[in-house]
Amino acid sequence: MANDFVQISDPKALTDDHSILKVYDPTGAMEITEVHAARLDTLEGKVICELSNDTWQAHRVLPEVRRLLQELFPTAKFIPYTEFPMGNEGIDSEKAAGLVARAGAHAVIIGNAS
Amino acid sequence: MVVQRREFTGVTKNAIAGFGFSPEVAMVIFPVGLFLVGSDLAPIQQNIDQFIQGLTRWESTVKEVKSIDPPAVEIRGKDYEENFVRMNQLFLAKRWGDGLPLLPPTEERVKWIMRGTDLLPDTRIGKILPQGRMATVRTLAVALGMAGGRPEYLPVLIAAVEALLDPGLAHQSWQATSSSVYPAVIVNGPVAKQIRLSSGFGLLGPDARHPAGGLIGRALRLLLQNVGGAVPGVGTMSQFGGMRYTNAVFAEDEEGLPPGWEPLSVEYFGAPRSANSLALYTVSSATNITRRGTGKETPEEEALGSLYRIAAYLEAPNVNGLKGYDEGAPGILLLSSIAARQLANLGWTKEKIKEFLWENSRIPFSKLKRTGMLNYITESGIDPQTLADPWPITRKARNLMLVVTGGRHPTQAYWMQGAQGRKTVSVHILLPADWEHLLQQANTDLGPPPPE
Repeated sequence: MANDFVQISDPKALTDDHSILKVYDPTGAMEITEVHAARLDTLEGKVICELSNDTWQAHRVLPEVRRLLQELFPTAKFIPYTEFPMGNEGIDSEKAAGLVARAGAHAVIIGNAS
Repeated sequence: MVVQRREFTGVTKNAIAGFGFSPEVAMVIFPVGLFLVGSDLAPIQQNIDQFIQGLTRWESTVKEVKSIDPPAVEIRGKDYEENFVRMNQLFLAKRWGDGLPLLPPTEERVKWIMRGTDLLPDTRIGKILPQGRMATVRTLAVALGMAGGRPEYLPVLIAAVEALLDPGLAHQSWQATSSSVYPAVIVNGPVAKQIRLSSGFGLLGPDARHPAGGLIGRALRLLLQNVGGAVPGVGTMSQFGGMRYTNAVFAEDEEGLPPGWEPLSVEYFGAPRSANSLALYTVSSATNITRRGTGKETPEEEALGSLYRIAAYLEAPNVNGLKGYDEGAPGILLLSSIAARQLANLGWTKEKIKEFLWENSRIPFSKLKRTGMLNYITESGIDPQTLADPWPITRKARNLMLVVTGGRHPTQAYWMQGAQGRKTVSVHILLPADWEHLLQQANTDLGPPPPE
């Protein structure tokens, strides 16, 4: 199938040639308005916040992740998910974003599984 | 970074894209077993390096903000028929189809569809989430063209997408959810009959004499999938899917309303009578209810029995409807004109029926506890001490949507249970200046409108 079609940039050049069918891609424009944050050089000395949707065992998974990372990076500061709004709507809120920013977060771990 | 289960990685990428990022994110992915009650957490330790990698070394492939317009697609074959088949195969391979044949969204077809609006092709209707690609008038016309639609359907599709994007409906949530949610669109005003939208027998389709509802609904589904990213098992995790090939797009039988009854647009949303508008709400199921009696009851007994029977269907621990408890609808009840008139002749107004159903579908506290519904109510932020016993299925009786529609026959009623929407939405339908000409052309193409 790969050789049966090509993508072209100008859909307007209609042709009477019935061996060619030009159609729109139906997916719409993708507007990238934000770039992902640069990664950290190390977790040592950094502030890492947790956000939880409060489901799918987040109350067990996130503390375990925290415990293991804290062992490996003793100077990292973890702020537990219980310090922020929880639930799908809670973590998708301006309030949560504001609290994370005010906590001086260098990174955020979001859980869990949905 | 995100902790995710394997099956939901597509949902996460969509959500990230919906926030304006490139559709990628640092994720640590586990099988579902880790996320179940009593799970073994050892896999976290075994994969702790992935957490470190995600926080310190992961890199995005996109380094700058930009807008990416998808290029058009050119298909080459020996003739039109072969191209038609190949286009359909290609669209399925790219997850742009629904499995039924699509008409080619050529420049010519899309231009034709866009005659249904005076808006410019690049007019932005909004981002359809969670994937968050931009839906313009042209994007909608492409979907409607693919679905087999016509120009005179476009005003309803535009209004439906505007309604769907209302923040109160939180479509990014129900697009991705495991529930089987789909939008129901109810059209009021002269436009319904003008475009042959059904309010009669078999209104949920299929219906060759009234194809508008199916085709507008199919276009809506294609938009939710192609622009919004709701590809089954990838972007929408709906376990069963629901009525999703065409959603549910239909009209109210306004001419069949009993004297004194206002149409939904007026009674529920306060629109002027005869204005063209649509209501959109999210539902998750559809149940036929035989409401007529055996014929041996008195009219009063039959009416009362039918309403008690309907109320019994409404009395359900609908976890999915809790988000809309205050301002949404517990569901949409469809009653035929004949049934409505029978009730009206016995003194039942729309308001009285809604009040009766609200009162008689209350759920006893013991049942809320037994079914686990109480836990969900508590989790939604309601103090169980403040709950009335029995508990009403919605905050107030007026929240219930009652629509007079369907074949003019007394036997059945239809209940579409509400799901996930925080509020109901109504939008005005804007017609183009060339409207009459479009309708004349429809008569030429399709023959005269069907007799009602």
